[in-house]
Amino acid sequence: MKPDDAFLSAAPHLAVAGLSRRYGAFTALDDVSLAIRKGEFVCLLGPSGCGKTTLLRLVAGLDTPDAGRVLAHGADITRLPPARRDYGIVFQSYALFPNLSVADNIAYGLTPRRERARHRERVRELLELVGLPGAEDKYPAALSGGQQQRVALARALATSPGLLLLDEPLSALDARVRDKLRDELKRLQKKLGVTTLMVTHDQAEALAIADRVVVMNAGRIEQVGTPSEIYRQPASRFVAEFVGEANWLAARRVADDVVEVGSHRLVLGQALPAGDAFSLFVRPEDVLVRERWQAAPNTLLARVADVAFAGALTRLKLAPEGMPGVTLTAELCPSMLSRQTVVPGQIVPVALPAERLIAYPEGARC
Amino acid sequence: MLNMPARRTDGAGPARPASGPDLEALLGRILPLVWVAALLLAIAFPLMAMLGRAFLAADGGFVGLAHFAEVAGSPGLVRAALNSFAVSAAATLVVVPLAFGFAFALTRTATWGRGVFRQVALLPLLAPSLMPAISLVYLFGNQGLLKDWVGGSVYGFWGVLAGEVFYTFPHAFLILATALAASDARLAEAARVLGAGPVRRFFSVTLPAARYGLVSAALVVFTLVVTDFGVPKVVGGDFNVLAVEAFKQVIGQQNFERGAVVGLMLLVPALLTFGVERRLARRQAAALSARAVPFAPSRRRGVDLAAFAGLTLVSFAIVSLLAVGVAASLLAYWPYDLSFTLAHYDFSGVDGGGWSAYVNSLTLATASALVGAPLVFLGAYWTEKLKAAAGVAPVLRAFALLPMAVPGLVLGLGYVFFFNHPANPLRGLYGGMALMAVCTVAHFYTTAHLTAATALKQLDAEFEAVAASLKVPFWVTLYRVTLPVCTPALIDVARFFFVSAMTTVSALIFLYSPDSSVAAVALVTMDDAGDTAAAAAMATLIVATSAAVSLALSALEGAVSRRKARWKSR
Amino acid sequence: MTLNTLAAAVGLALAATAAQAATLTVYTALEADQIKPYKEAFEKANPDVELRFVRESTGIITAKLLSEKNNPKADVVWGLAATSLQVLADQGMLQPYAPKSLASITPAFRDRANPPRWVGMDVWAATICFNTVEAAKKGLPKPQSWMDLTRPVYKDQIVMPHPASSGTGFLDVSAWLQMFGDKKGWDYMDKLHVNMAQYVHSGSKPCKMAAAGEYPIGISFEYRGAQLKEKGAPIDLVFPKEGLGWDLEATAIVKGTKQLAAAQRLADFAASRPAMELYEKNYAVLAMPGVAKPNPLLPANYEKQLVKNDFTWAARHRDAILKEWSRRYESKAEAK
Ligand SMILES: Nc1ncnc2c1ncn2[C@@H]1O[C@H](COP(=O)(O)OP(=O)(O)O)[C@@H](O)[C@H]1O
Ligand SMILES: [Mg+2]
Repeated sequence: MKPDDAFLSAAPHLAVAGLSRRYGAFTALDDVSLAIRKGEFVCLLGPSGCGKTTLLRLVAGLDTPDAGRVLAHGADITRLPPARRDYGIVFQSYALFPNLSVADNIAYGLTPRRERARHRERVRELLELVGLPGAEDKYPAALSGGQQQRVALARALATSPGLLLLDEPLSALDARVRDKLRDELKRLQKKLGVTTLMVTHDQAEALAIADRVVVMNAGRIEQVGTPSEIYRQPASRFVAEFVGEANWLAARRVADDVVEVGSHRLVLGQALPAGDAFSLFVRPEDVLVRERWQAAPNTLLARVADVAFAGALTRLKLAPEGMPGVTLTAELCPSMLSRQTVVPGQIVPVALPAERLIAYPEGARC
Repeated sequence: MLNMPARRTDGAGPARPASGPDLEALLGRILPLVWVAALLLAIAFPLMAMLGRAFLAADGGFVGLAHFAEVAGSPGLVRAALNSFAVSAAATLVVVPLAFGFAFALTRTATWGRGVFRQVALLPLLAPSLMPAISLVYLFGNQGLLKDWVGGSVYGFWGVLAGEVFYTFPHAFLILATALAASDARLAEAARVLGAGPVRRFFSVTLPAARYGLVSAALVVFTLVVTDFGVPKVVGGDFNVLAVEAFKQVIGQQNFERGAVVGLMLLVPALLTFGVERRLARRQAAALSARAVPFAPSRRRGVDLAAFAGLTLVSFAIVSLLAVGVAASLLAYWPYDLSFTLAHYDFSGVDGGGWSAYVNSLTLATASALVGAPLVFLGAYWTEKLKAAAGVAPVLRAFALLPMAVPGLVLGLGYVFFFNHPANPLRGLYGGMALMAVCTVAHFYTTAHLTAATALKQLDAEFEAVAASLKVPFWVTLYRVTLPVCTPALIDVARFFFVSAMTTVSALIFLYSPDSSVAAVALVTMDDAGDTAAAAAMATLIVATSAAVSLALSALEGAVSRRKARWKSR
Repeated sequence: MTLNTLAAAVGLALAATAAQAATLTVYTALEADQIKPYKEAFEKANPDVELRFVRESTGIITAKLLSEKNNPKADVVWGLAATSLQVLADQGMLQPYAPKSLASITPAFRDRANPPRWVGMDVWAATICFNTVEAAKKGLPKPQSWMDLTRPVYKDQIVMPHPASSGTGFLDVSAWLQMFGDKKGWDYMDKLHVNMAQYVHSGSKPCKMAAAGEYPIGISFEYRGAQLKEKGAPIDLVFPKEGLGWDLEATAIVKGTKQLAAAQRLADFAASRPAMELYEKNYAVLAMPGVAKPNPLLPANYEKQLVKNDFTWAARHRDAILKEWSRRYESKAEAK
């Protein structure tokens, strides 16, 4: 987080402040503020309907907010029509013009229109860039979904905009194509250094591609942070649930940093928030299966209920003793399993590292 | 590496300096308002003028409900209202089941020649409503070919009923065919798996799924019959109905106040119907969106044979009613001299304007198509696609739907009151072709608008957003993308306007002047004068022209689609 | 902005219509097939004047003229029932004018005022068209008199024009009332109504329907009957022995016309001998004596058969008669 201060002293590339948008009585976007640095790749992540697209459209000038401002380099552009802003946009539907060839689609925003030779050259460059050389004369309908999305990207980049807006650009694609295109998109963004704001509801995608992730829920921002911050230190129970897998244990306060789960006491790495009842959060990969029992804080015995092979990982279902009704999911890597065999019915020692436990006040369920 | 074009002003960031007023936003705000103003002038003001007239004395003083009291007190008018209701209800009861059966056979069986049957079912749309009435006289009149088939006289209730059934059949058929085609095959399948027999399946799955279609078909038929004037004019005899009464009051006796009251009486059922219909349409759209699997009928010999027989029977009735009219126009002197002649096509000795009326009709239809189609298309574009118009769009949309609630006869009356008002600066237009074209476009605006809007909605909703991000103004995208992609819909709308303008009488009968009489109005005049053969000849001309232009435009649409196939293929 | 554009467009349109100089708007109820030769003859004699005809049936033209009283659109009425013109004259809507050949017009066939407000052209009179073929099929005897038409054999076999829309229809009603007297006249029509199959819009249509056999008996007028018979229709023309109702086709200038000079030239022409020679092709009794030739289809004593017709009386009572008629017979279905 070091370079931040230097940037924040200058006006950010793009900022929104206190942005709200209502549809009738329904608030789609509620007092949202956010700053984006030049060259940064930011993902808006959240469940469907939480207001991501609404925010993107406000940034694009395709819609006007009920309150708040959109700032570019500190200048207020809230009321500026789209044509006076500087961005390229790609939609989930690609929105390629079906009656225009790939070349005409990409050259659609290039001016002046009579400079055809120059445009042709530019189109060739862009097609190469997005990995579709020679596709100039095809029509969109003749392309696969992934290819169409590449053309849409090329079209958005054609005018070399200062900002690239992507609304679920990969959601309509097959899983394999999606992963491939995701990596290419990231590579391309780094190569061009174009500031990018991308909307997605796929947390894995967001974590993989973004420099920073903005987690949204019900029209509000829940957390802004790097993928690892979001994953490791979810700021709210919502974020913790939405991003990645998690175990949830009902806990009661015992001391400032100690809770009781069933008949067990667990120590936490930091002080508890206010309240008496908590939900204790721990990622499956942080549930450590020990080779042998060693009395230590946060260590307990559990019976293996199930062993499921999940490719790179093996997933265990554990029933901890002294915690009736609780099932813990643990993820073990192959190297660990090679040292130790685990079979259902076996009793294994389990450690829950204090610094990996986060307590959220009970009742704060979203 | 990318070499960035000169446009890039590095570091300038997302904002670009503003330069001059934003023409796009300005146009986006003004253009829809222009459309609203036009629709106000062409629909709302005439309607209000008619409303006003119903409450004012001839000299302009307010008389409240006096005209209404007078109408309620005249037995002839009350009788006409009852007759209108009776014949409309009867026609609805006949047409809806008939059209349902026809649509059912076409969509739910694998019978032969479905494409042909479909076209036959739509044939009546090409003819003015007077044509089936004239044919009925030739078939079942006192000198009719099949006079012995019917007990009584064709003139009166039964004749009107038969003519209206023919005239409204395609309208009901279109609605029901759409409703049936859209309902989900999976439900029927599930019912079959659960062991429901065909009868049970029909009543538990098919009928409920089509219920919105049934209700809206019934409403549409009822309104069409209440407001139709062609059929009762010809075969009504002394069976007087409201639509004819409005015409008699205004044209025959120049009693505008009474005409206005009768017009209002016609407007009420139409407005009610319209309200219910719109509600249903919305619900039906909601019910449809989740559906996916269309019904694919399989061959069942017995069922298919029965369907074929039924379809043939109805089609035969439709075709013969048209064919008789055509034949009548080619016979020298029915029923005494049945030799072939083209003499009836020499309209010089009969009323109504003859060939010049026909030429006027062509001009009117062409003008309505050429002006109406782009106008409607742009109007739909403003409501569906233009972001800057978002504020005005709901108003414009409401105005675009309004004409559907206004029967042609009422609109025509409204035009008389509004455009012929001494204080109206647009008075000069009265009696001219231009105003008749305006009236025709206004009269048929809604259906055309819905066609165009549906086509536009099928386009990707983000085209305009993409274009805006690329700093391409909306009119460029409209011209380069939207119009080319929607050309078939545009042709559809043009064809609809052309055929409607060729066949409609109800509004124009109040608006023509001797120089601007049109073919369909000439039909009325000829029939009034007893020149039935000449009327049949004119009706034949209308049908032939509508059919020829429809075919030509279909061919054009085909050509456009083939060109489109180039960018649609794989 | 748009309003200005519209106003400009309207202005242009108005200017364009005003450009043609001497165009007379002529309202008429003449039969459509008669207008053409009349128009051509006048325009040949007056090449600088163009006639623009507005043709409707008598009732409609009359109603139209009345409703346009404060803002007349017609310059001349050429070929409308004298009864209707008398109504307009009573309302002061006609411009008195003595056409050049007024002296040679039969005094009974022109307005009594001096100068006359309307001048007659020709007489058209009631005639029954009787389809002999259909009558034979149905075993109907040929009627000889108006009274015959009330006989039960003719039930639902007769059609006649609606008196509100058709001048022929009105002259029938008017003649029966003048011939039989008020009470007996309405009694007669009550009985006739029972036999009536339909009241139709125009005066020609009943004869056309009879000619086509749609109904065997049509109460119409002699021109249409003679013409259809000539064309080969299997009809006989019956001239009821009580006498024939009739009316005059007449010409008048509309008061307030902006083209008075041209209108007077048309009025001159309409009363002139050349015009009478044209009327003669259609009618047997003309307003100018000595022009008519005998018509083989009409009886020799045709003119004698015409009943006495008081235009002033008919005009005064036109409204009341139509109201009463409508009250009694407007809805055929009702009465039965
Ligand atoms: N034009 C609109 N009218 C009414 N509600 C809208 C409109 N656009 C979006 N919404 C509502 O606002 C909420 C947020 O929408 P959106 O920003 O598209 O969500 P997402 O996060 O899935 O992109 C949704 O509940 C949606 O139904
Ligand atoms: Mg979205």
